[in-house]
Amino acid sequence: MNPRDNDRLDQWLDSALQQYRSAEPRAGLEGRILANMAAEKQPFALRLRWGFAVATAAVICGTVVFWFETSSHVPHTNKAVAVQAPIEHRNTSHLSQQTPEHVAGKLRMKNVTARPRSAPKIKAVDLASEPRLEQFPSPSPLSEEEKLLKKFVRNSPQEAVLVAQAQAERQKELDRLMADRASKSESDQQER
Amino acid sequence: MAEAVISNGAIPLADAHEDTLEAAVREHARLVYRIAYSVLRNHHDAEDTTQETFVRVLQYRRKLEGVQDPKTWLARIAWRVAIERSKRRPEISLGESEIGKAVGELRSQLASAEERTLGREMTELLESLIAALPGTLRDAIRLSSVEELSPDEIAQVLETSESSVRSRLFRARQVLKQKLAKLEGRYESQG
Repeated sequence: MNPRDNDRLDQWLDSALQQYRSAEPRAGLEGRILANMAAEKQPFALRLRWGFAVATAAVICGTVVFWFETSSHVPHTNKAVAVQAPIEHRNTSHLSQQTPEHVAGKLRMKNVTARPRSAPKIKAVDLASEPRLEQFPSPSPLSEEEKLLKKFVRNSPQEAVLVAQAQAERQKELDRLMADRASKSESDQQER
Repeated sequence: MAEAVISNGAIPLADAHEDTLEAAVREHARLVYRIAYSVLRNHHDAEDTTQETFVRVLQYRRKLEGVQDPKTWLARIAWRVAIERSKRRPEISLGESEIGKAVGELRSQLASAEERTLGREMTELLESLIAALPGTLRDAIRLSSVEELSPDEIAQVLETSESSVRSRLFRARQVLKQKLAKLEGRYESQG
């Protein structure tokens, strides 16, 4: 490229780039931008609110699921015992002919295979809802005789103590007599 | 990053954000549009990019108050949005006949001292030549077509020095002249 051509091209390029940069937007660009931003702002706030709502719901669901999982964990074993009981009854005829280790092994196998997946969960929740008893085994209701005795002790405690002492002494005498008889019979046998 | 120019100022009130944002739109909308147009060379796409730029600014409106130089900050966001959009578009290549017509127009303009007006083919030829430049040269020449940006501001947008921008512009012009001369010579020999 000779210097003259270079100058011509330089001039042309200046002019071309000058025209190249003349980009004017349509009238009212600022107004359109502000209107678009106003329209955009509202859904943004709405989306933010929805986001919070969804997050809160997810946290609540998670907590509920976690609570159910942890509360159903302990009674799971109780339920297993309840399910195993009939299996043991069914197999008692075979168990009498087998060694204890063999039977235990078989029972363990059945415990694993016989455990249903979905049904026990309901049972487990039922068991969990029952109140835990403080005394084991749980106390059975008193009989009529026991009730009368309880009433007598409450009404006349001194007499009850005397009766108890008398009974205790009588019991001791009986025991002594029994012991004497036993020793006598032993000595007779030895003499024979 | 655009956030790098944000100073650690106190968080202003929401109303103040609205005012600052509106002021930024009124003051710099044209600049943002021209930056977008310099990359996309299409009025429709440039306006869409301008809208998208200000929607992004809306999301960071709390930071706008603390920005040291809002003009350069906006220019950088606009530049990035425009570049992202240009990557999604298919490249347009000129046909042989269009190049021939553009070069014929160029020759006649170079021969006469009359007012030089870029026709459609000439504009497209120049666009395709600029698009074919190496990335650093192309970015510099595109941003130099935005009247509102000084070489220093172009340097800030491109995250380089002002001298580097000047050097890139010089080299870009050299490459463009060489290509134009080559095209002129090729079509002269054919004609």
